[in-house]
Amino acid sequence: MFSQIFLILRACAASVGLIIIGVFYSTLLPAAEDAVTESVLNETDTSLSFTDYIFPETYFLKIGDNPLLTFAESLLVFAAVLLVVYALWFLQKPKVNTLSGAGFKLLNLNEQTSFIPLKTEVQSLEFLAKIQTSNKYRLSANLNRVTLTPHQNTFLLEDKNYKNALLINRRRSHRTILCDNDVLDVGEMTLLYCNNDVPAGKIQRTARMDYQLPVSGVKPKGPLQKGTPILTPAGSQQDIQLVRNMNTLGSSNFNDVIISSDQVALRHAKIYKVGQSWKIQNLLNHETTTVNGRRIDQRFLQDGDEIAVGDTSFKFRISKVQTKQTRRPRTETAKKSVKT
Amino acid sequence: MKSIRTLYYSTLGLLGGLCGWALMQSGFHVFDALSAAGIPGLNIVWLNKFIYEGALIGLGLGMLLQARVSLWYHHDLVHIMSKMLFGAVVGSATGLFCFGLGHFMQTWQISPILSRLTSWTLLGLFIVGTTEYLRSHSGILWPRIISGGIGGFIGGGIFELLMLYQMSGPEHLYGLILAGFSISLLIGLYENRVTSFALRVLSGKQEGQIFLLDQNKFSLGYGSQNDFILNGYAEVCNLHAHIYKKDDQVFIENTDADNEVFVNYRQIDQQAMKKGDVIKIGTAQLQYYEI
Repeated sequence: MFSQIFLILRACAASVGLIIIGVFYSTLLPAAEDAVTESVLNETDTSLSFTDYIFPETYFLKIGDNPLLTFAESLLVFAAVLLVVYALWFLQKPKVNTLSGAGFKLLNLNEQTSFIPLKTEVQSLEFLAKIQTSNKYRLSANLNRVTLTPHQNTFLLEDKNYKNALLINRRRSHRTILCDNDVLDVGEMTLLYCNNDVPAGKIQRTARMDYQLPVSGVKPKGPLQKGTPILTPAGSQQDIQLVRNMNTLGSSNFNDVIISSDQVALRHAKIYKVGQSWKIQNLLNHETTTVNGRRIDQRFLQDGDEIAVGDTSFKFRISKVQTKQTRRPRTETAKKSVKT
Repeated sequence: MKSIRTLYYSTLGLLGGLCGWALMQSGFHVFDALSAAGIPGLNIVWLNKFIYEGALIGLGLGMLLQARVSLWYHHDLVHIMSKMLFGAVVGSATGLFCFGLGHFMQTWQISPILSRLTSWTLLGLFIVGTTEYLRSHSGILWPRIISGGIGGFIGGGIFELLMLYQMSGPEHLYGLILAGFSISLLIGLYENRVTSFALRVLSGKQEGQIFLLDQNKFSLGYGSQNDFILNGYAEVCNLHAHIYKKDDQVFIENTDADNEVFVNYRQIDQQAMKKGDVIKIGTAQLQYYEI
């Protein structure tokens, strides 16, 4: 048994060796064969090499007989193919519509009407029933009781009749300030709120970072309302207004308050509204957030509290006066709506 | 969406055939020039025109078929170029192998038609097989390879018929194009048949992109080895989440405890998805659909 395997292996090794020799010395072999054939048989064509015995030259497509294109032309065809592939790639690029202003996007599948712009005035959600859609969606009957009120840069959504099945970010809510990329479910419709004026993740950092504390936040365009919380970094005159209902603090660019520090996590803490008061919550167990020198997990905030996130400390204030209009004159209706 | 994708794939197949043809035309000139130069070491490379032609066909087809997914999902150009280069190498290797086998069959006194058909079928099998094997987590391996093989067989059949009736046009152009077309059409048809779920990107740079779930398992993240690449979003990890099908349900799974995956604004580790769910990965928002 063993001797047979050994023999087979030896035969294999010998044939492999022969092939290698034939492959690498195929030019030498004809000369050797010449000598052999001339001396012994003197009959065969001497041009055959070793590889020609294994691979007699056959054609598959016989293109070699008469190529249609010259070398340059064929390369041009190849380049044209690559160009068409690039065109296909480019066509597949998703189209991004950069519309200004706030509006809704209809998220239901097969809908072509992508963007529904919103006017800066008090309005009810009734207009949703009038939009041209490819499918009919069931909406609740009393959408006229759901109002959109302009609020700083964005809208305040209020459901005055609590019976509407209205979900904001997949949660029941009656009164919400809409942020960019909020998902709104109204009956069977799914809407995405887009605010291109203040898109999420495009928070303006202060231009002169060198002498200011490396903390930056949202710069709201509208007037400051009464009751808006303000964070003041320790040892600076900078005021950061928290204009959203939920504000995140951290070192990532996508927070509402960006703290560029090694001791602060990407998303470190959040300050959010609970009823009329504000609450702070630490978001990571292994990071520290302190209020008045005490490490906390979550805690209600009072006016004048000292908050420390990582190694950066803030003073928390709640603004008591409504500041004056800074930019963009508002319409009469908008003013009324803020007071109501 | 499905029919557009089938069209897209078959267009790619046509282009692959044309590409192979152009390469062969240029390849002959290279062959000619090199044999005229008479460099001794190259004898082995050009040892047989049959295999050489096979390698060039494999190069053309493999280059486009490997890059088909990246092209469809509009990945970065660098990523597509690397895929194409890889496909070209793999495709030419497969072409060498398959047509080499076909050639050996010819030397064993098997009719040339049969050996050519076998070569084409093997090419279809292997070109799809290498793609799917290297993306080893795809989950649907064998049906895809077999559909590629059937495509290759049909392509070879078309080729032979055209040869038989002398209809192969300018130097076998039609035959090659139709063979490439049938291989990629068959793959596209199979992949679309199993697709019934999709993810759509709602916001940001890739807004409007639709990811079709045509495999059993997917990876989602920032890195270029993923099936679905989320590029241009903050806080997306290299390999962020896995999506897999199980018992007619689609699950999303967080890969790492450091990542955050939200389904309907609730943080999850692993969850079955329903129609209309909003998934949040980093700052990217995706919506889940059933088609």
